[in-house]
Amino acid sequence: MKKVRFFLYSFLGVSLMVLAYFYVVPSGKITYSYDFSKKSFNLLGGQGFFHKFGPSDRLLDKNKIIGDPVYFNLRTSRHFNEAEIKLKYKISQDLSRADFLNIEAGVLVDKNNWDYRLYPVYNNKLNSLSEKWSVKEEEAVLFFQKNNIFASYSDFINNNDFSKTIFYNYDIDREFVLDDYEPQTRNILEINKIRGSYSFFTYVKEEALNINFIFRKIEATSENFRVRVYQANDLIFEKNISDNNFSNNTLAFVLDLPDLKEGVYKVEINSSDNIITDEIRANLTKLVFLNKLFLDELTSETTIFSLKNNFRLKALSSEHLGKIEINNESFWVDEIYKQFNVSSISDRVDKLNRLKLYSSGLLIENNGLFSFTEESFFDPWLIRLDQDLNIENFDFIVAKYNKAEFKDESWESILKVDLNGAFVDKDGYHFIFSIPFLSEIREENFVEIEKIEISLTGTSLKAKLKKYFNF
Amino acid sequence: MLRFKSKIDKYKKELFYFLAVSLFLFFLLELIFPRFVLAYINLNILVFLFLVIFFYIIFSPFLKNK
Repeated sequence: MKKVRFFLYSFLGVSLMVLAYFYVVPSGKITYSYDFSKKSFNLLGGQGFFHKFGPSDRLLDKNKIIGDPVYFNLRTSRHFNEAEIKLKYKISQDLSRADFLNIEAGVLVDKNNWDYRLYPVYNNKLNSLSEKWSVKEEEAVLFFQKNNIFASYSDFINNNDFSKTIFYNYDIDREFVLDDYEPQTRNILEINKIRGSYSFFTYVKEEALNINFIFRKIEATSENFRVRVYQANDLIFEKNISDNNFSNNTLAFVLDLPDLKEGVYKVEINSSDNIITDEIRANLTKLVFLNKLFLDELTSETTIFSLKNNFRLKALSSEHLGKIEINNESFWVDEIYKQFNVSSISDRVDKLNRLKLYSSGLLIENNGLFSFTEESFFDPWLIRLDQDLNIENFDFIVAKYNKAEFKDESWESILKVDLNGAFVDKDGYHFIFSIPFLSEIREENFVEIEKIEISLTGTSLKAKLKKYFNF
Repeated sequence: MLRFKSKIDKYKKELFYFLAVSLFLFFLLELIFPRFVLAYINLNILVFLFLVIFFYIIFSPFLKNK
């Protein structure tokens, strides 16, 4: 009987040690995988690490993505610094014939802003151009040339002319200068009623970055939020605003940064939707919002200017439903919580498109910039690869992209995801598949995920102990 | 036959104590370190086995008397 007892408790002890090893991951490296094609019965029946693959209405047979975006979570026992994601997937025939296909995946960085750090998975334009144009790989960057003009990517960068260049998933360090910019001395910009998080670019030359904000809480709950200013990718100012700073649910905040060198600055307000920016007043000439604006309680009709002619619109309350116009073409937002993808046929090439709003409370998004006046619009971004671009008009493409491989009738992509600063909660890391061309759900258009393998790398236990004990 | 029966009784009691200790430890570890156990093992199987032996131990004297 003692032998049986010894065997049973040794088995329990070994099992606990194995579980502890996988929980602590002392080497700092572990791989989790999920194979959708395997239907085998898992004897131990553990819950695994991948979960919440959905929403279910955007999926067929659990792994065929028919709507955009699709999310999944990876529950891990500890934090990691990097994830190498290997994806095996199939693209339906109808989709693979499309003119522009761009699949991205990424990890949630900021929950309030719903901000994901995205990485390319598949891009059919780059896949096909890699066979037609000359391609050089340098420092993990693919440099495409229509006519083989530059001997190397470094020569191209030194030439410093990017007017005929498209960038994909890559930014270069450059100083953006508006040649004819003149600083203003009086308050000329006044923007009202923006809800939740937003960020904008502004331009400063021989003047202070001076902006007056008035924030208001809709509900008297405890709210903390953050104001950040970046120059290029460098954080130059950060202020965490706590609930104590509010009086009678309102707060006047002055952002005052004198003696800045000429250039573009990005201001980021990171708050929940319970915070409304009642007013932004600034003595600045140029101010453009990035990607997203959630307008609240507008009292009069408003016009928004953008270089893009397509917008994603959503109303979160029935009183905000109504008509909108893009370049004098009318559209109706007539259902709440539904995303309307509207685009004007008359794209004003190189001119600003006008989105006219008659009702408040609309969430407006696109992958461009917005301004409230024509004069305040400027575009500091480099030309980026998207479906509206005619590639024939360009000579170069610079892309940080691992070309997808076609093996055994499936595509395979590898992407390296930076997990530093990624949002983690009890559900683990939050991942996304962004497949914008699946915005209109049709069952014959799908991307079928066959296998996901995520190799995580983090600090080893030895390194952690060394750091803790300083030896 | 009697010796065999008493051996079976001892084994099932040993198994019962082992499952009780295992379940207690697994639940405790899962409470302190979420996902420690449940990520790899479905405890329903262990709980089911534990209950089968538990009810067998309880009801076997009644079955014998009949």
